Amino acid sequence: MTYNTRITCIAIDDEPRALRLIESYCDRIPSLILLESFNNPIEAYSYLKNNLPDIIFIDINMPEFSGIQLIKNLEKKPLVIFTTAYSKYAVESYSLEAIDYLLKPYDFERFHQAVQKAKKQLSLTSSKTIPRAADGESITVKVDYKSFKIKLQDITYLEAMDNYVKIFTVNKCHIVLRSLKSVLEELPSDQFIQVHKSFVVALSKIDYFMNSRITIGHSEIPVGRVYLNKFRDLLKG
Amino acid sequence: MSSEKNKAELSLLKSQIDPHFLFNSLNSIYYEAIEKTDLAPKAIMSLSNLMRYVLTDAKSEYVSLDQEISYIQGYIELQKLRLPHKTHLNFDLSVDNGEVMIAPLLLIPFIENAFKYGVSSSSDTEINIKLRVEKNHLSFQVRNGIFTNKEADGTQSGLDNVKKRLALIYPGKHDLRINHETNSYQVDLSINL
Repeated sequence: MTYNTRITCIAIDDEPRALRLIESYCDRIPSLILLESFNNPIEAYSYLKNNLPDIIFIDINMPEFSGIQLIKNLEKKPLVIFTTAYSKYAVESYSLEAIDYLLKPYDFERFHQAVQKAKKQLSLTSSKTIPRAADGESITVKVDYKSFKIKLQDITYLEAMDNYVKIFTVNKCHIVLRSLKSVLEELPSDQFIQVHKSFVVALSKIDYFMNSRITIGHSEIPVGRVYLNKFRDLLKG
Repeated sequence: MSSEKNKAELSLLKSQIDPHFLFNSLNSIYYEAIEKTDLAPKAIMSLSNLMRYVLTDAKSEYVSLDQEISYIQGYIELQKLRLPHKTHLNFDLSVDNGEVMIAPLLLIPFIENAFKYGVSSSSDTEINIKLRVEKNHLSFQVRNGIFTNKEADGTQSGLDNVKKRLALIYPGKHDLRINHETNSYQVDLSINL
């Protein structure tokens, strides 16, 4: 599975349910890959000596080793998002240049907001060029008897409407006289997936998935029952 | 006058619900609710009972032993929900008469401490709690290891408060021994109720 904008993370918390909550939130964000989760901060520390994920979710108050200590001791620091039940450390965590600070209990929207902050930071500082669809990759469509090209990397999702297909890009919508199926056949199957009889989405453009609905920017796309299991499996990698 | 002052001082010294424990518990319950498990309703009940006790019942000068014990049991249940499976907890209880009255929230700070310091994320640990009440004589023991390098935030003041309360409520009727080693902690408290 290749995503255009893939972000990796790990999670550290001594409480099993706190970790599982983060795992279930990560499952809803296809572009966020949870590499490992750790109950034990010491194991996490040795993992971080040899691996550098983009983001680290870390509880502050753990037995033996506080999250703050762990971060202070890291030579190469990922982006840090602290999770804690207790607000008295907020000031200190900001001095460690944490991206965000999640107070338990936090809901998915709040978690997603923190991830968006991190994404923004990554795109600002990233010297790594994010692999994208090669510039030449595009699809040629006819609109009002004129042919023109739409770059694959600009497409967010497609919607069938009677005999037409709406092709949505970040700031436009092209209406093409074709069937959804015929357009889908021209798209790379590892980047575009059908999630409903009338909808196809670009995997890399999904903001999140929740309650059988996909959010891309301001649009909500339903996931049909027939497609739900396959789509869930795909998200889990 | 002095007894009024004592009352005011005593109410200030009473232990409160530790915010850390409260919000971590809520986070665990939140996860169970998202997953729609059977644990969520039970845990919400335990937490409600706990909060009601601390916010209302325990405002009285004395409560029955039964009330205090069910508070301790509820607290332990919630701690079990939070903790990794590496913690083994034994609570050995024998009370001849649950109607006997006791000042509330005297025992809990020692149990809170055991959970604060006696839990590890890497090694198996044991917390042993023993409570015996016979003919109005209470003996209470807590044994736990110490697995932390945290500065004792707030813990010391919690213990000092309990000592002050014991001195004010049970003067000459109690004996508290704390044996604090490098990696073990032992509390022995006896009270003539």
